[in-house]
Amino acid sequence: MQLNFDSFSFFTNLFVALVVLVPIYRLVKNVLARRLLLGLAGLYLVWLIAPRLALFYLFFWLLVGLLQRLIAATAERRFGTAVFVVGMVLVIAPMVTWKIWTDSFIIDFNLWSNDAVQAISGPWGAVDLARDIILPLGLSFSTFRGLDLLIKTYLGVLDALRPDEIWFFGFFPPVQLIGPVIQYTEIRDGITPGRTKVTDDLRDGLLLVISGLFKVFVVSYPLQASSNVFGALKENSVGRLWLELLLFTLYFFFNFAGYSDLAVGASRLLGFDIGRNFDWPYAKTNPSAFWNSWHISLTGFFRRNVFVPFGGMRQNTQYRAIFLTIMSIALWHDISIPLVVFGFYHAAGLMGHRYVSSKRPPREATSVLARLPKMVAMVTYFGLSLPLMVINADQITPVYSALMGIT
Amino acid sequence: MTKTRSKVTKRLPRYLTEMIIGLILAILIVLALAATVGSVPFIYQGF
Amino acid sequence: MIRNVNDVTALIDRRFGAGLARPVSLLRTLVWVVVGIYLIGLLAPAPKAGLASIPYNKVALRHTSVRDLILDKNDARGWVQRRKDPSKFTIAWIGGSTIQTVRTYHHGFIPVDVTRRLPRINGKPVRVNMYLMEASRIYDLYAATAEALRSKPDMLVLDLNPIWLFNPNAIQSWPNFNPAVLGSLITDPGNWPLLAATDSPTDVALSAGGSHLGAVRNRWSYAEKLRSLVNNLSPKPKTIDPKVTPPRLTGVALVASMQNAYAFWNAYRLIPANTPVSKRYPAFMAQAKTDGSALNDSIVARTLQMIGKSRIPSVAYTSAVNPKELADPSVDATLRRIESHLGAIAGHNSFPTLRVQSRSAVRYVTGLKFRDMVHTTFDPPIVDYLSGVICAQLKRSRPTSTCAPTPRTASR
Repeated sequence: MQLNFDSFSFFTNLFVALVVLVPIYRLVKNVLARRLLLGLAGLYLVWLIAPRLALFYLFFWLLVGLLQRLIAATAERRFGTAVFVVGMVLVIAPMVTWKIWTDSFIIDFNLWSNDAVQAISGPWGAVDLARDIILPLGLSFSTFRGLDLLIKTYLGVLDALRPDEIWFFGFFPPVQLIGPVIQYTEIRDGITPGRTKVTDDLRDGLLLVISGLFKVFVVSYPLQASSNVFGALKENSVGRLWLELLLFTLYFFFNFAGYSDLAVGASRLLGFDIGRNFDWPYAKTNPSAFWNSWHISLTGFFRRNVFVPFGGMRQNTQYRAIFLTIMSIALWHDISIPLVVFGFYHAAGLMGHRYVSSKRPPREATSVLARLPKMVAMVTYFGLSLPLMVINADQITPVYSALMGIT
Repeated sequence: MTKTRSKVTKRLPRYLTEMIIGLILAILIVLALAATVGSVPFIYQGF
Repeated sequence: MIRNVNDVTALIDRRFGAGLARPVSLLRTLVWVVVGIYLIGLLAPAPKAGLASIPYNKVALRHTSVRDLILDKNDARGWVQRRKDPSKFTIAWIGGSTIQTVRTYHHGFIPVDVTRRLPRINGKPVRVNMYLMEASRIYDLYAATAEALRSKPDMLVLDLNPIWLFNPNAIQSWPNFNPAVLGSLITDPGNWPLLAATDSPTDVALSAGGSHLGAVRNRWSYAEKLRSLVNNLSPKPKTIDPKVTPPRLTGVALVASMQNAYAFWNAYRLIPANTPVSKRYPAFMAQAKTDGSALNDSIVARTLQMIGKSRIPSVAYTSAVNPKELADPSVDATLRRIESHLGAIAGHNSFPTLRVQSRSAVRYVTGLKFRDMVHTTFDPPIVDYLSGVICAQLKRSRPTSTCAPTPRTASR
């Protein structure tokens, strides 16, 4: 059953909807109308997944909008910080609850949100019951977008958004399901008509969609079973394990980057340049450059809101900041032992690289051939950590022993 | 006639580009339609 | 070096004549996309869905005049298009698993047995286009009916399973029908609210594309080839030791193992976990909503209207329920509630060519045997009954029809 949701069906709905939406959107010049239109499109796309998910996000973004206003109004007051903290806790609560109590959250999320839909409309409730049981799709990405909004408001970087702006940002269609974790400022100006050339947008969008389709279906789709090897260690040789690990490393990137390209491409078709989410991470030669080029929107969020506040820009506290940042990224994936190991592993790499660089500034080779050994080492280093994203704690020793040829 | 021919020759790279990109997108769409008879999940949808 | 899309467009501008830089250039590219998809369908044709690809047609139905038209549950083509043969009297028979008769060493079908009682109608040999959808729900019957009517049969028979008829918790089980039937349903504005609720933009695109482009229409066939290719690339799977009992699934793993959403709603909301298997079907039927607020009512009404307006002689009957279950007064009361509600809807949607038998067939026949609440193992009584109803309704709709059931023989 569809707990393994077909993410691509979201994009087929999006791209077919864009055939109608793009011309209408381009013809509408009024900015308010544009915001309402895009938000409605995004809500409809989520409604197609399941009405209960759409209702959940309506309440979620209503909460974010109200909290943002409250934070803006109280930021300068004595209890402003307390209001801000409570607001952050409320917004992050669903995601954290999901991560910690996954089983009961999934069950209760579907039950309660369907109850809410039924309470509003019986026929819609029947439609909702016919949809698959789902994970809270897109919750992490929406949570980070919401948190970013609250933080910027508290810091005075952003004024409280109007309801139509929250509606537009919350339900911006291309990023509903898989991100990127956009900031409001990335799409704020794009809503104004005439800022970019329509043909440039369509051309760039089309090329990004081609790139995305290629990455998802030509490269990653044939490799989607590669991670199965971690559950079938005895049945596969050591050589096969390493091969599948390499293929899984490729699958992981191309699936993620491909879907990101589809989201960025769809945004571009609408005239929004939200920036790419990956910058050739497997061509990087050190951990720092790697993480700056991998899932850029998310690592950017953690850099702004964990690394910098915890002293990443100061010499005395930079290692603490690195550790906290990478552990936050790791534990966001799952609060489990494998992801703790993942966090420590990459923290060691980043901190080690930072230390070595401080003693001896690296000289980056210019030719690809010269950089190749470091690129291979970096990919291997990252690839070795990927099984930790998909295995349980009791599989750690068997998997890595098997990779080392120890049975 | 020569003017037309040189116009076409000048624009040939553009026409070829359009054809190639169009055909590539067609192949990718057919491939995507075939692949998604099952489900093609996004690796991070569970996160 | 190509780092991002801007580099790609700069390269195209520099070296490839600035393609896609103007609206007409983009338009030409999109035309090439459509041409490309069309050419793929021509140059790499996928096998069209045929009757021979459907398992029942290969064995169980091989020596009968009945053919199953329903394709795989993931196949967006939905069903085989079968050309009408004017030399035959064609009956379109639509229903779920209740139109089968299954017992040890025997897999039969009620339509097959009916054709043995009615081998000829109006002087023509009878053939049946069977739309057999396992675990079908009311919306699936609605979709299949639309398709069946499009093929202009001489008669239509619709089996309505009382367990699902007004069950609001399970209205659709075959969403792959959506693109296949959209073209038929969208021409009637009365269908638009239902279509808006169940169809997606993807269904619209597949419907439009599939009607003209073979590569879109036959994607299921391409998928089979692609799947076998991808499976060859996969690592060896884990071998399951039959001696080892698999761990009991709980939580998310349990939810992920469920066959459909309805199983989830039952497990966590509708039916107590310790309900024995024998009590599950009555529990499902008890979920029927007959207060007029269920979406099912619209679907049933639209289905009857579609059939009635087609003026094709038709019978819609409520399938038989195991009389042993009806010994429980609450089960009997539920069935009566469902029958009465169907009767009321049929009353508001009555047409001279449509007969709605709202009371379950078990009220009219005796001697049926069942393996559970609704699935028969011995069907001659209902075959007798339906043969008679078919002929009666045909004569009522077309008074000059010749239709007479042959007597039941010992073996049939």
